[in-house]
Amino acid sequence: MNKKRAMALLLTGVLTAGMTGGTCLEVKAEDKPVELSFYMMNSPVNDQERIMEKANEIIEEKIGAHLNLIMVDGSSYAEKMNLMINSGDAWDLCFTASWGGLNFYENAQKGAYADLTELLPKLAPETYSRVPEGLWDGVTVDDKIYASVNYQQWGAASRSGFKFRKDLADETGFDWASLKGKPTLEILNATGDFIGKALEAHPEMIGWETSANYSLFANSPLHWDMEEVGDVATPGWIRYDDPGTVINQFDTEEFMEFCKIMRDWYDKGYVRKDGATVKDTSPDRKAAKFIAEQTTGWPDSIDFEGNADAEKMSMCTADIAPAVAVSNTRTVIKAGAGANAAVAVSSQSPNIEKAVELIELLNTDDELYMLITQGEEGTDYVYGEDGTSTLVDGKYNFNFNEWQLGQSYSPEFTRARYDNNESGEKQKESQSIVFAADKEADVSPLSGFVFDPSPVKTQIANCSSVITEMVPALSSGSIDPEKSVPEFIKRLEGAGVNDIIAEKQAQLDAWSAES
Amino acid sequence: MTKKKNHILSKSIVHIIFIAASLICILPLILVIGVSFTDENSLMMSGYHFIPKVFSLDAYKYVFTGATSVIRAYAVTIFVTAAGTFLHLLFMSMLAYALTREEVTARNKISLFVYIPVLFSGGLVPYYMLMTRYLHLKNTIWVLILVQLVSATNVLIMKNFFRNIPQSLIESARIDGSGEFRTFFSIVLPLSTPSLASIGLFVAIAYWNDWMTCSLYIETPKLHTLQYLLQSLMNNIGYLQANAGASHSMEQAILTLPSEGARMATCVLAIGPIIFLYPFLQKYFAKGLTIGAVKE
Amino acid sequence: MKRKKKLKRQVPFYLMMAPGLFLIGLLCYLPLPGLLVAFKDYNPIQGILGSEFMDPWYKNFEFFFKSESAKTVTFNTLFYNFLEAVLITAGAVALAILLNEVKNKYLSGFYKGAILIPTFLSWVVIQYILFSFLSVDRGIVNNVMGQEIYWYSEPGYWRFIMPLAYVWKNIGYYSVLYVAAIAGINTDYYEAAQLDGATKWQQIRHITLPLIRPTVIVLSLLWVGKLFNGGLGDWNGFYTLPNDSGALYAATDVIDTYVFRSLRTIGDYGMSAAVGLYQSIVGFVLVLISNTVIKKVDPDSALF
Repeated sequence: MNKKRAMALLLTGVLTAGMTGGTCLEVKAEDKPVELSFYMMNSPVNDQERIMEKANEIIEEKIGAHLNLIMVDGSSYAEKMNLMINSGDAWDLCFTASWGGLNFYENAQKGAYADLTELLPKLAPETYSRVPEGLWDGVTVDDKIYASVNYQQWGAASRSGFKFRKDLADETGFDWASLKGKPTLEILNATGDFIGKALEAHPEMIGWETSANYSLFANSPLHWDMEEVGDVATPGWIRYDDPGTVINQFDTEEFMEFCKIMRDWYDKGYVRKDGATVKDTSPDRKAAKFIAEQTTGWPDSIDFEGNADAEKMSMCTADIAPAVAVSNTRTVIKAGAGANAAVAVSSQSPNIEKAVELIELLNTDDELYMLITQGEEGTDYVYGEDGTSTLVDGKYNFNFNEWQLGQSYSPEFTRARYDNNESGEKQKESQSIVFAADKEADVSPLSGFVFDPSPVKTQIANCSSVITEMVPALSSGSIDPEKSVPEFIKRLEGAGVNDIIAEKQAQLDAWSAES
Repeated sequence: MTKKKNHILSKSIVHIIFIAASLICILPLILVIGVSFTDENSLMMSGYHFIPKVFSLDAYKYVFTGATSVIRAYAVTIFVTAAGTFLHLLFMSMLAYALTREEVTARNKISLFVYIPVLFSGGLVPYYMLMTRYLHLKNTIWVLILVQLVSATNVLIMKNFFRNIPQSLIESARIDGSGEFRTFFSIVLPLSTPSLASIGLFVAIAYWNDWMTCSLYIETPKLHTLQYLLQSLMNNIGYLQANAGASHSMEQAILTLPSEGARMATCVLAIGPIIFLYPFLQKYFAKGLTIGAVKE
Repeated sequence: MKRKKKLKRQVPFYLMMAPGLFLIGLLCYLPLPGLLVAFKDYNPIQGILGSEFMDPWYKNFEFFFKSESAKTVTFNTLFYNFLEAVLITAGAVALAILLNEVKNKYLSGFYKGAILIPTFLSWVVIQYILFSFLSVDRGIVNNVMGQEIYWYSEPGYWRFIMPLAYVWKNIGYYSVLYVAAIAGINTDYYEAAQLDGATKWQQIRHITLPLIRPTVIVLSLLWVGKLFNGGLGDWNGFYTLPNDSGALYAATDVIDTYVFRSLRTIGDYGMSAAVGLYQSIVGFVLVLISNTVIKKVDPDSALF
């Protein structure tokens, strides 16, 4: 027996030596800059080494650190980051958010992120002061700030609306401009008539996009003058008209009416018959098949005429599919706006302070930011006569992911450059709309409240499987709402939806009593 | 006469069955190849066809000039597959052979030790901890090899093959003074080529098709494997579309992703080489047929 | 004296086993304490051992057993597992025997190669192939039939599509294994049978089938057990092929996919570990039962 064990040990020794021999242990020299790893979601990038070498010259000189920017594909980033956090793997900084499974709030509650409440004003003063006070609420859990907000050039305020094919609106005499500010249901009804007329002349088109990924109701509370409490995918929203009461968003008249309209469209052939199961809608979008679409988000992309985004249908060019856009919601800074894009530091990092210094550097050093996000001028991108920047094919291309790295918002409006901004002037104008919107927008009544889902995890898990099963079918009109909506609500109740609503309400009440 | 007719009839039925089966298996592959050579617009407008309606090489151009080095991914994948398959076969066959020997008195207990992991596993998080925090294998090529190095299933299959090897051969080798290792390598293994070739082929496929390990443990594009590239190409679009509301530039990010044709082209590139492994191994199967029937 | 000699003879065999056993210990047994997490309120900062136990201990299991789908998905898991095991085994044995009858070396090689192709493909590739066939507006099937069938909205079809896809992908693999097993059969048996005037069918029934029975039993047992092992089983097809289409869940949801979907929003490690453990136990019980039965019928083929 002993011999066997000795033998086994010997072999294991040899084997482990062989296995670990490949990894080089880092030699820590005194004068070596501090190594900081930064995980972000990005597809592979050409010439990354060349750019990072240049970037690190700046970083080493300014703060004595060496940045190791690690890019993980979008499809695996959330899983990978959560796994690293759950297994205590080493990382220093990472991009985080409250959507797409990135679980900012859950991880903050677990203690995975470093408390930056004191460090940010001290070591990243400019970054800290540039972001409106209210946005910090979005990354605050139990009175502690757990991430640095990536305040973007498109601002923090949301406003939503609709887009219509301009040529078809002209053709059918559709009065889209009068829809501004109208409730979503009214717009949908008007849109239905428009789609009907347009389809008569162009039967090869599809009226409206439906897909398994996105529901105009479930994914876009703002369109319905509501806001989610906690994760948007869980039951329990509030109405802006009655912000003190948590409701089950699926047990509302709006949801029923929305499903009925979609059912009507489905019967009339305005939407794809397999809408509930379509995952990738880009072929239809690229083929310019849609007559109308919703548009999310940002004040400048809806009501600003000069914005190129507003002048074309999604994923098309303006000459193939010209569009007009109209906004219909209020402009609001949502409670979770801060956590829409943020950078967190690991609570287990040995260099938390250095990491915060790096955040400040990335957010304030425009030369460095431009280098990492755009590459080198002349090599990777060139400016046209009108100031448009164009990426050079096959060279460094950050895949438009600069928003994960830090703030692109800057009072001078110079940080980010987009190829769709025809000139600097337009960009400035667009930015001033954003700037104004962020100042004038309503601040969410939930701002500063963070829902702790742990007491009702079981119910959330069970409801979430019911929701993912039913919502795509209802939102694409493929099942009859008169019968299925009550059934859906009953199943949700069986899965414990009322416990979730009650828990959200209780936490919300306790929070409002406190503040 | 009728007997002969019957014989021919049954023979042709066998061939008809196999021709049908072969078609069912080959046609989908032809479809993938066809789509990868189809012009993107025609794909969107007139759908999928076995033979491209509008021929185009764009997809392949995109894949080869894209940000990820396909050539490099090939090198990594081939090395991992070759080294992994070799080590897997070596370690597992030695284990399986020893477990069939009656001299090993504890073989039943050890077999149980080998089988239990088929049913119970500790889960992803502790496994990840082991690989990264204790073995420090993150970002090394070894992790790609190590993760698939054991398989109780294969030990079982090999045990069954080794049991069929005539005892007399092993006994006579021992009488000739051959050590156990020499007996194993020079007599047992050569007799087992059919089993080694068939298992080896599937171990190689498993290594070739593994993308999970790469997605979890590899962070440098230098060590990305082909299947990982394929998988992320396929999945990125859905994820980004589902979360397009989060960022102004998500739509642009989606537009930088490859088209359907390019995804199919990557499929073709990822399938290609491993399929050619079969004809190469074919001769070992044939050899096995004669050797496996050694008379007792 | 004799004992010592016996031990000495074992040494080379233990040396042979050492690397394999070491790797199994390292890769399979070291992470096993992770099973504890199923009973814990896991917190990464406190680690696996440091995290506190749930109160009551079964709290992590509640979400699965309280859900309306627990029964459906457990049924689906068992149903597909059993169906696939039967179809693949029967089909592969039949193909292997037929392959053995193809005497032309080149044709036999070609057939084997062709039916092996699906085994080479990963599930993502198969997902794309299936979509090219079944897509409503661009798919080949609807184009050829000139009809508009909503394949991805009708669960009924998928009760057939899922098992067929698994058979299609795995049958080549298993038949090649069985061909190798048949190749191992001593040709004397057949020669003797032919002298006695046995027909082909009789030879198959009385020689081939009994002699490959141990292989058949072991392989099907492993299929049953392995599919249940959370994470290790090959449920990937169930994630990818139905395109995560909500309308199909009734027919395509198995324990693995259900848990993945429910926990996506909260990402709770303890709860997923709990369901993983449940799957392992179901698999373990199944294998135990089958093994007992086999032990009664054919003691030599039993796994343990």
